[in-house]
Amino acid sequence: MTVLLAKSNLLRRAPWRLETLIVEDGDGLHVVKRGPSSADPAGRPPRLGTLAERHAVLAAAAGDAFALPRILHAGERELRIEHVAGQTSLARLERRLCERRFAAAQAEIDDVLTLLDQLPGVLADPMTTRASPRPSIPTAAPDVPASNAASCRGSTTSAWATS
Amino acid sequence: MPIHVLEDTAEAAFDGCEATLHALFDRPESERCAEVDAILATAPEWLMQYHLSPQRRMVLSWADIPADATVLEVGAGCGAVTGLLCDRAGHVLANEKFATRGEVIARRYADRDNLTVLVGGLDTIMLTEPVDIVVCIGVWEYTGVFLAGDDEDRFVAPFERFLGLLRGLVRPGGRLLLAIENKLGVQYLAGAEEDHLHHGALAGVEGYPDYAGARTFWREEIRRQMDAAGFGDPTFHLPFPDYKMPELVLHEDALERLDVHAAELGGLIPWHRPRLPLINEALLTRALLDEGVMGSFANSFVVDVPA
Repeated sequence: MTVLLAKSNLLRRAPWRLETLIVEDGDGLHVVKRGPSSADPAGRPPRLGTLAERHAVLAAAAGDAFALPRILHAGERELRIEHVAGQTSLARLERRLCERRFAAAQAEIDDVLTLLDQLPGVLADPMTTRASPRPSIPTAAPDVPASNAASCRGSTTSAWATS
Repeated sequence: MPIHVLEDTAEAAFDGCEATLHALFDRPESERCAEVDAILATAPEWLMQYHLSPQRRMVLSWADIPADATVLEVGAGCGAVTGLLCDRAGHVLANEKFATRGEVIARRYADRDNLTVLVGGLDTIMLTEPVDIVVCIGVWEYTGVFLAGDDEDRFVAPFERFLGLLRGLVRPGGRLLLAIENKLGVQYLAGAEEDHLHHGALAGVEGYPDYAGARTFWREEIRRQMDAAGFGDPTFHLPFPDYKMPELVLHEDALERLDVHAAELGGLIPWHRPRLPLINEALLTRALLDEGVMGSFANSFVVDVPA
């Protein structure tokens, strides 16, 4: 079995969320939803069962309007789901969310670049002003009013953002 | 749980978090989970996220690790991924160079009966028989610091020697799972600080002109070094945004076989790293994906190599 894709983008805040895999075996491609590899602390909801129930409700409500990918096998630890090439209704929703995040990231970068363009003394051409021996990322912005420097440092995309 | 001290490294606390983690993992199991959740909910500084976040396990949660396998984790750090390995494998040998960190692992997983902690450098490990799988996450890049000889080419030789040592620890037919950053990853092309140097941008992109022992590699360099060390043909997996806190891990074939959309990758950017905003990273990701070369410019690789 080859895992082509593994995804779980909410573990950081919610470690009980499910992992999604797209796997290939002798029967072709499948989607697998499974519980997290870490132990579930007591009291957290049985997400796998919830997902199967929700799928059944959605499938019944959808009727002939659209086809949800079928659950091929509902095990104790994982759901094996039909892989549908192209976009399912759920994948379409997920993609819209991704596009929103993508657009937000672009907008944030463009905002910062615009801000920096207005501060010509701050971001010089790295090809002509490279510090010796290495270009370094400044931890403070010289020759910039304090209010401007502070606003730069506050942005995650700023040259002065610190880890 | 047994701890075997192979080398005296008692002086070293690597990043200053160890004392906090000692105290945290001394607490009863029932309190510990809630405490970790509470710490993560406050969006702590990067190092604490790095040590505690369950997202770290995603780097290998997809990997096929047989239940009867013996796994050696080289450079286990404070054990962020060790718990996953204990969940999956028959027995885990967690090797950590620094004693303070080895102690964190021992306290963190005190209830695991399939874990042995080995404290000491890689060159101190003596196994009675080679293991099924060697796991090495975020370690190889520091080899020039910790494994350099006095009179050798420090830019290449220590890294080759490290892989040779790993090759000797894994049985024929076994595997090496190695995670490392890509020196030509999108983040570095876009001006992010070189993670192993903590100063300056573009160092890896320009070939480390001020090399001092820590470095990383590009995909083809990794392939060549694996071949030179006697490993088989590697399979590359691509963690996004990087191997440290992955949200999405793609098999190298997935970029062609699945309908991976630029929005799914371009929005995953390791913002914790300082950067010169030279370029729009999300748009660069889309361009590389459109050209079919994203597999060589992902920020990190997890390399699955047969022995």
